[in-house]
Parts: sequence; C-alpha cells; structure tokens
Amino acid sequence: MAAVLKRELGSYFRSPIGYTIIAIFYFFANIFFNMYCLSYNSGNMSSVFKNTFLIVLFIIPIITMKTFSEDKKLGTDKLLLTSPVSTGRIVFGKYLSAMIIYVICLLIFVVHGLIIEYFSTAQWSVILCTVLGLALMGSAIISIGLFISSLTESQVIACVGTLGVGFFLYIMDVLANLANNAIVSYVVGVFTFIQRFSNFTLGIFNPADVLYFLSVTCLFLWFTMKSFGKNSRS
Amino acid sequence: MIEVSKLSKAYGKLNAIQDISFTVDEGEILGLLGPNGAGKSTTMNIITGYLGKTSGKVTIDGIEVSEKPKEAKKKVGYLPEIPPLYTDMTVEKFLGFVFDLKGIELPKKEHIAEIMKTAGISNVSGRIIKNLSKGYKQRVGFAQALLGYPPVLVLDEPTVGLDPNQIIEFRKLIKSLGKKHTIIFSSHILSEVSEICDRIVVISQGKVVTDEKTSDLAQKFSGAPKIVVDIQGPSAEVCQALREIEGVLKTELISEENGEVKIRITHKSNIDIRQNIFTVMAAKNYPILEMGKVELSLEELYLQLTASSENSQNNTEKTGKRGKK
Repeated sequence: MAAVLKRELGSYFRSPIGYTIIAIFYFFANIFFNMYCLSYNSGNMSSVFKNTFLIVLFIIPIITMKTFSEDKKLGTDKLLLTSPVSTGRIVFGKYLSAMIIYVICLLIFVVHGLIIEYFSTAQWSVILCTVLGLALMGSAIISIGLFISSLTESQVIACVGTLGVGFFLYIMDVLANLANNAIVSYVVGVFTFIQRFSNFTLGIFNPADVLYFLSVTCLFLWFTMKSFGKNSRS
Repeated sequence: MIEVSKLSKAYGKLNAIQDISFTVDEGEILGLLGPNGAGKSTTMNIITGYLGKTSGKVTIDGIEVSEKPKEAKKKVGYLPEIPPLYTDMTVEKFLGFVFDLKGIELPKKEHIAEIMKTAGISNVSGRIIKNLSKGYKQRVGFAQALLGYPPVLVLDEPTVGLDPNQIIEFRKLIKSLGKKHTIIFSSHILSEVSEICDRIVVISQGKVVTDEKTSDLAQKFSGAPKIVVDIQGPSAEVCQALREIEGVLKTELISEENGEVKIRITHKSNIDIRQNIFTVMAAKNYPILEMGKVELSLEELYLQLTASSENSQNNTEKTGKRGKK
C-alpha cells in the first residue's frame, strides 16, 4: 500500500496537476479571505467557508479523476491486479494520496487563522471544526470520485460524473424543500451533506455527522474495491 | 509447476476459451501459439490472476490462483501484450515502484541495477518512460516482469516492437532464463517459438488444438515420412527404380529440368531407405545430386491445425442448424 501511496502522490507532482490544484484552491480561498475578512477587518470566517465549499466541489473531481481511469487507459491496472497486493490496499493507497492533496489545500485556513490571531483573536474552535468538517465531507466526496473513476477509462467522464454528484449533493436540500413531501424531507435530512457540514461551520462537533461522513467514505471505498477487482473474480 | 485444467472463460454466451488444459513443468519453456483472437491472452490473463475464470482450475506451484491469489501472484512475473508502464516515471523509479509493490526482499538498488543490465536498459535508467522508443518500453516491461526473479514468467508477445538485433538478444536471454525459470511465452513468430520453446500448445478458437514437444510436433503431423531427391536421369526409369526399393509407398515427380528430376518419396516410417536409394541409383548410374528429409514446416503445421479447427467449428454449426430443423 505504501508503494501505491508513494507513487500516486508523486504522480500529482510529476505533472503540473498537483501544483495547479493547490494553487487554484489557495488563490480562491485567499480571495474570499481578503473579501470577507481582511477588507472588513473581521475575524469571522463563515462567509469564507461558505464560498470555499463550492471550490471544493470543483477541486475534488479534478483530484480524483485520474486515480483509476489512468490505470485502465495505460494498462497498469494489469500490473496492480497481478501483484501480490490486495485490491483493498491498492484502493486505500489511492484514497490516501487524494486525501493528502486535499488536506494540503485545507491547510490554508489554518494560515488564515494565524493571520487573524496576529491582529486579534481567532475563533479556533470554529476554524478547526470547519476544517475537520471540510476534511470529512471531502473524504466522502473523494471516495465517491474514486468509485466513479474506477467505472471508466475516460478521465473526463470521471471528472464530470463526480462534479455532477457533487452538485446534486449541493442542491439536494433545496430540491427537497421544493418537493414539499414529508418522506422526501426526512430521507434528505438523513443523507444531507450540506446540513451536516453546516453544523461544523457553527463549531458544533456532532459525532453523528462524523460517523455519517466516515460511513459514506467506507461504503464508497468498498464499492471501488468491488468495481476495480470485478474482472478478477471467478 | 503450472497446471491449467479445463479452463473456460465465457462472456455471456460467447466462449472466449473452453476446456483449456495443459501443464508446464519446472524449468520448461512453453510456447503458446494461435491466431489473433484465439484465446492466448485470455488464458495468460487468467493464469496471472488478472481475469477471473468461469470454470476450471489454475495452479501455480500447487497453489490455486483463485483461492490464494496473493501467494500465487508472488510467484509470477507477467509481461502483458501492452507493457504496463507508468509513463510519467523514470525507468529507475518505475522499477523501484514495482520492486516495492511486489514486496521483494533483496537489496533494492543493486537488484534493480542487475535487472536493468539484464534487460539492456541501464543506459536509459534516468529517462522518463514516455520518451522511450517502443523497443525500450518493451524492455522496461520485461524488466518489471523479471524483478525479484519470480519462478514463473508469463510473457505475451514479448518480442513485438524489438529490432532484429534485440530479438536475437532477447531469445538468447529467454533460453538462458529458461534453465532457472518456468516460462510461458506467446508469439505469432513461429520460428521463434520453435527455436526457444521445449513444448508448443496451439490454441485456436478458444480450444487447445495440439500440445506436443517441439521436436515431436512436425513428425506427428506430417504423416508418413518423406524424402526429396534430386537425381540426374530420365524420370520414368528413375521413378520405376525408386518404387522397387523396399519400404517405398509412393513417388511424386516434383520437377524435371535439363535431365535432372526432383522426386518426393513417401516411405514406411520404420525403414531408413536412404542407403538403398544410393545403392540402386549407383547401380543404374544415375547420380544423386541432392537428398534430404522433408519435415512439415511450422507454418504449414500451424495452418493445418488452425484450419482443421475452423472446419470442425463450421461443421458443428452446420450440424446444429440441421439439428434445429
């Protein structure tokens, strides 16, 4: 697994893709920080987080699009699947590499907190809780992105598919309100990403939300394992 | 070392391979021959654990691939038809990755250097794989299969893309590796297979058509033994004299030119008639200009075998149609 992790992480930085993803994320995060905090002399980062959420929905598909599609296209899936490493470890190695890139992106918020701290007092519980929420929610969407990537040879389809899922999760709550149906509202209430993430932005650490995102992550990593290894099963 | 037993793979109603069975002993080099689409790559993909089987059994050193894949895969180095290379990595880094992936317990740097020397890629170790020529990419693919010196090597058309010099070197390398490894190797180049392999399995339309030692193969299929002679003398008398030799079954005139006749003699298999031919021709004063055994060439054999398998397939279909009526 360490071999896969090392290779995948390296590959993000052997091409411009890793640098580009992180640069774009930092660029927009900093613009929002400037707009909503520095220009108002405010230490309240809630608007920064709210807007950054949309950037996350764009960035994650780009991080995950090549994770399995590239292997299918290059034929290196044969190398991985004929090696004495289990499918689970291969999937987990790729998941970890994507998470590391994503977490590097999220670290910018810690920098923002430190800047605020320099001038006044930062609300560290809110900042760190939100970063945790972003990490957990991102982990769930990354696992969905990995799964979609494992279904296709085309990185474009993988990217667009994950984008689509991300946006659906974003507007799911709004659609549920429009539906005006008690059952739909209940179901959406259970599976909602936005509501659960919002709790973190208020500094609320709810174990149920943590468990939910971790469960989605595990579920889709399991799906990815099954999908990647489907041809190898008798 | 490798035992394939009634292996089948179906995609829905389409049988990619059906009841394929063969064994490869330790230290043996087996050649897998067959037309495109015959099922060679499918068979190799199942042996190496990339594809799952529909039915049958594959064991490597007694370990069944579908039951204990990790242990079985540890024993195999695989070079698929398209070498599985991460083109964004340098040769050395890529081999380092495969070394770690396979969990090889040898000194890493030295072993990789040794493998690169064996595969002839030491001079391009720092080059990014994307920038290598096809021949070099093929060699890197071979190097990754050889890492850790696995007891079994499965090579799918390994000489494709190599130039003639590289092909010759590669064949020498396989022959030398064959002493310590069990090798399955598929090819379209019949001369290569007959030169390198101890045994040949011909697959056509998903089925094994023949499984023989290379040396026995031509003999088995050429029917009764034949000799071609080039004799100076009148054709009618020469043929007559030859037909009177004990053991001769048939004579066929191939050509007649400037008093020289070329004749194909079919004879019984337990008699060597060459001395008798000499004695008889010398007595009649007809000089023998050339005499040699005829062996069915591998090309003719291959065509014969694959054509016969296609015919039997067509007959089965026709019978099936009539059966339905």
